[in-house]
Amino acid sequence: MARTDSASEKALGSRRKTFRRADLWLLLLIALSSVLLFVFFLWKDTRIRTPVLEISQDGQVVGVYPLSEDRELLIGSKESGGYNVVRIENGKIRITEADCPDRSCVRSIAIDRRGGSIICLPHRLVLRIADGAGGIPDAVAE
Amino acid sequence: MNRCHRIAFPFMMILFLLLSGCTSPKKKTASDTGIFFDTSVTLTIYGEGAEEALSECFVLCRNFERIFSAQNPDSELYRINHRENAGGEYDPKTRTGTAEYSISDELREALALGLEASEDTDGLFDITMLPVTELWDFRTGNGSVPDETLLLEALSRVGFKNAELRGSTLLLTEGTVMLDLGAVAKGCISAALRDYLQSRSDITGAILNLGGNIDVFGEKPDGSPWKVGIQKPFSERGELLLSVELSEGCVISSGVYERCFEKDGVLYHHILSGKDGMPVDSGLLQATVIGRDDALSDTLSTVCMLLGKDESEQLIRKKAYDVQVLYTGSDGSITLFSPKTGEEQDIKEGARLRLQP
Ligand SMILES: [Zn+2]
Repeated sequence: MARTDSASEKALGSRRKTFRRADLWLLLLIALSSVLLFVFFLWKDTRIRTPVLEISQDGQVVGVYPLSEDRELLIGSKESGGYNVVRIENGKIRITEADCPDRSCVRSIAIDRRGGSIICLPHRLVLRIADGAGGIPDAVAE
Repeated sequence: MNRCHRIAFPFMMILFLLLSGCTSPKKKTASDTGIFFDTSVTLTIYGEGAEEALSECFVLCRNFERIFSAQNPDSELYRINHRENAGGEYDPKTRTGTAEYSISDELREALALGLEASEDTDGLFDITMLPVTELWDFRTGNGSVPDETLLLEALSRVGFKNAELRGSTLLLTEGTVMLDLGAVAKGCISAALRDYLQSRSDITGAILNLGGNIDVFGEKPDGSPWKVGIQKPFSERGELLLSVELSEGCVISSGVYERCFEKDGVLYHHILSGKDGMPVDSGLLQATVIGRDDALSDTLSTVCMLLGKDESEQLIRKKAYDVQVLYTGSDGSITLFSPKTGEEQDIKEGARLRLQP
């Protein structure tokens, strides 16, 4: 800022003082909002998300269901073949019925809010707990 | 710029930096399941570049499918097995003469490993078993024992000595020999995925699950060691025999319960002998190899099942392989073999083993 005019120099000088106060307010505002945002994001990342059942087929998510409500879902159709029956009961999920050749999904252990997945390979169906609470192994060697 | 601004600017810059840092104070996670080569591949990747790395890993899987698949007519292995564009003296009319192929590095590494295991087990494990494995159907659980004449015909085509590697050239000295990478491929792929992920500086850790072959490395976000459960034989899928904790490495199981069927009170499973093409009873239900080299560990898990506990321990000692093996015997006993200390340790079901790499 190069000013040679003395009058404007003076005017600027007087404005400097108000600038200083405004700057302080601005600084305070930014500091406050950054602290607030910081706390918000921290809370957002650490808050306990509710585990849900996510069902996908051929790599596409076909449904997301809460574990709190009991229900039975039919994936595919019994008439045209290629079906799996998924049951949510007391927070536990299993495949109770399927017409896949290996029947490995039906013989899979129930999954619950802790996490885990059930896979039906022939039907390219994946049931998984999203945002599981943990407390089970990261993976199972088989 | 006046004094006040001079002071204010750095402050504001710092605050803005703090603000922009807010959007990702936690490490990123990306996880997905894909299906390749009749196997489910579940990858969970941690780090800033997790999402990009995840999709890149699935691209790598797709590429490997075009190398290793014995069923996909477009794969390198399939074309070799069916002698498409064979070099050398191979005569397609009589299906005789040595066929020559210049092969990819990936295939060469897998074959080298398979040939070594074939040599070490004197053909009990055989990399050229495909004609025999194609006769058995273990997928449905209600397969049947192959016809004896068919089995003998298929066995006559088996012989790892008919496959030879010279640098990056593969020689198939018999016209009907066919390669089977079933016991090797998954390990080679997970090793490649791990190498790729570790080469990225924006990935802090990952857990790879290739059809039950587990590989872990790096840090878990909560800082705890990785926990890998081991499937209990003949129980519901996901029921655990025990679990191991480790900071890095692979955990690869092979067992008679995986793909099998029962007929007239006899259990027929997919661990077949290269000698007679029949399932092998070596006194084991399951062998789990814990190591650093995924490809070697994958192959070894099958080799252990074929050789049985004592003989496979001898082989591991002889070759000084850097692995540990958990054996589950037919009587339900569990033993941990650690060649470094030469120790054999009885393990109780439900145990939580902490393993040192
Ligand atoms: Zn199924």
